[in-house]
Amino acid sequence: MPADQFIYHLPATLAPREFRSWLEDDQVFETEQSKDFTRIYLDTFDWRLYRGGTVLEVILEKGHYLLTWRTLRTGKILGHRTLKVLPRFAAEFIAPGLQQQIRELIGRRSLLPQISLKSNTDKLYLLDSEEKQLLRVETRYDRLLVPNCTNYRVLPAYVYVFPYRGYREAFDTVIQKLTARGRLRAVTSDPLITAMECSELTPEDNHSKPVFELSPGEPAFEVLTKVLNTFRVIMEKNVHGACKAEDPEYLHDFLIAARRTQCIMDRYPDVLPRDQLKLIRQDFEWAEKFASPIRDLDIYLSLFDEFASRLDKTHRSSLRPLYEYLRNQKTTQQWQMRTALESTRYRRLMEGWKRFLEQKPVYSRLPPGATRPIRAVAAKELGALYSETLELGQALTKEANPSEYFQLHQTCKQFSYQLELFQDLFNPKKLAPLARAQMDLQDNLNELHDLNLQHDALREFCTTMQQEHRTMPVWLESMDILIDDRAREYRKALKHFSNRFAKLKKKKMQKQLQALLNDRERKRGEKK
Amino acid sequence: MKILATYNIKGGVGKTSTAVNLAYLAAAEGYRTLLWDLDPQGAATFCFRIKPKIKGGIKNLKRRRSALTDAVKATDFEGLDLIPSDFSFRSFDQVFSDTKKPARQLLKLLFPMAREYDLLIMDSAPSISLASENIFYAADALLVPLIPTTFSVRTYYQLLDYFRKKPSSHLRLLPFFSMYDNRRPLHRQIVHSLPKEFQGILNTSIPYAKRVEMMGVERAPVGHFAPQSKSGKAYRRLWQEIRDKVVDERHFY
Repeated sequence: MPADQFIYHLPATLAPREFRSWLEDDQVFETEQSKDFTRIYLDTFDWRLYRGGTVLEVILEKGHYLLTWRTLRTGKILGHRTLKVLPRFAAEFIAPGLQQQIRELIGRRSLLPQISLKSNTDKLYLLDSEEKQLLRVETRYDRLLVPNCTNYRVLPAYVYVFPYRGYREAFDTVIQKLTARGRLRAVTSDPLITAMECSELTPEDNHSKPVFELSPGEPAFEVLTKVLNTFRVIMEKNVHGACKAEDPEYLHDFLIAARRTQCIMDRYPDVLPRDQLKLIRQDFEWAEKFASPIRDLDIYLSLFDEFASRLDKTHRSSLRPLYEYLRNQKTTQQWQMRTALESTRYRRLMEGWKRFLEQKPVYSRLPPGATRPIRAVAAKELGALYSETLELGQALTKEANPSEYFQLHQTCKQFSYQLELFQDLFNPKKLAPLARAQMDLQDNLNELHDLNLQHDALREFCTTMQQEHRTMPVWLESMDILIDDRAREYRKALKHFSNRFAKLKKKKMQKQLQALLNDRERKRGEKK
Repeated sequence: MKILATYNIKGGVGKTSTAVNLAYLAAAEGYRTLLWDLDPQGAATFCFRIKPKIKGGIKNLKRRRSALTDAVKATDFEGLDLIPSDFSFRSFDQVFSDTKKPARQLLKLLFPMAREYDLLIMDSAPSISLASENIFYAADALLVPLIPTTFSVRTYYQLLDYFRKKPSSHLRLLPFFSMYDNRRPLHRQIVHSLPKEFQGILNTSIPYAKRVEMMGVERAPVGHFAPQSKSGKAYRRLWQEIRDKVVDERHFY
């Protein structure tokens, strides 16, 4: 297994024969006939691997995919794999070591072929007296396929030297030959970066979280429409990927933008014209109804390793029917969502929504709060959401059922959306303790909500299977174990609730928030 | 890191060819695999064209634990490394017998490499000795090739007897038929009757085939030079069975 990789520029003027003569001084090299390969750079849609300082390169050879995962800066090999199918998710890497490392970077996101190259590669192997390979040298002449075009763009040629573990001496000798008298120059940036530049790809722009630049004195209506328009663009950008189920993250981003849009529509009746938006709001709810269940199913499907770890070996086999059941459900729901999001109703919704957001505001026709400075409006809303959260949380007794927690969960989520959106309008240092306490509570409520959903989904699966007379005792036993396990985890998570809520409820926190929200208003009033 | 070992008290039953082929198939599937040739005959090492030599021999391994990491050699196959055999391995018992907890020395040597590989396959020498006790202690599963003949089955009884006296709770015994020739009535009879007597005999049998013998000539695993041959396919089935049973228990959905 090669231990490392070293990449050099191959001068365009250098003839292959001359290059070989440098190598074959007194050593025996075996040549593999030069071949055309398809080389693919895999990454998530938001370039998580690249951002993590790594490159995942795949070569399609003899029906197999040879994966090389290396660091972006030094070219050090992090992993080599041969797979029969091109992996889409971290779980498909089979071998546990690499799987874990890739999962840490990409989470549940899928890998997409970001750049495809046609590559003509010459391979040379240095052999010893037993004809054992000691290292591999590859010269690669890459051509980039320009999207929507039949032409190729020629990229610079490279020499890759792959040392083999335990044969360092041979490697040092070859490197010395190649670099002697300034023959070859080591690359300063990975070939991926050159390919990215040629494809005019700029991963830096691809942030899943939108960034807003808000100024405190801007009229609330203008700010909110600006924000809503950003969410609209996110929805438009992700709807295609969500329909095609290319990556769960397309759906995730689509859904978050849709939810945040609805939250703003609901929370600012003094700024946005409620009557005018009534039908749009209903249509958003209609669209979300199709998208939300698929997101839940994506989460269940990604939880299978955890489910498996809760069962012994005999019971694990019964996860297969559950997996298939969820997959089937997802296929059905996906089809329904696709039909909805490609329908005329959805198209009209988005067209009407765009028109509304991009029209010039006529303030006389808008609610009175439309012209108020955004900071004042946001402060009022954050204060109200904080009070609502406290009120709902305090009302929860020990006997409260999951639906009561769900109500708090929803309010808390709205609170977090608004905090995230308007944080720049307030002193960030002073806002930090509140944001932290809110996030801690939100995490706990998210966990409670997810566990409750999983519990219900497992129950539903059992009932459906029983109705269809497709149960076996071992399946039911497994489902019982998992249902109990989810209930136990729910109780465990519930124990943290009171602590987290108490942190948010602290008198000190309340005072701090009040002072923070009123601070600039008061100062501005004094100035006037 | 999961540790498998091919083992049988009897020699010439197909331990080395099993170890070599399974290691090759595991690496081809993406497991970072290390093969340790513990047999002083060094047949597995020969198969990969590597010199059967470890600097300083077994005494150096005892003195300097990192010597084992330094001894690792890459094979010509992606993802597969090998610790070559060394003739000094024949004196394993003498070298390690005076240490504290002598049966745990092999595992101790392997600690530094535990995170580097997903799978280690040890090809052991045919004997029952301190070296084999070390293998039993370190391994998660013992792959026991059985030729369907009376003598070979007898050695399996001896092994079972050994574990009855010295039980090892963590170790799984995975016997399977090797060098099976279905033209021979005795082979057919044993393959038919033995699984009824012992539970846990693997479903895959490796046929007696000239392709396996050719490994020594080609100096490569069967899966590399004859993947579609009968024995190539049999080794692939065997690997899949072992993988699902021991190596990756998550292959169920």
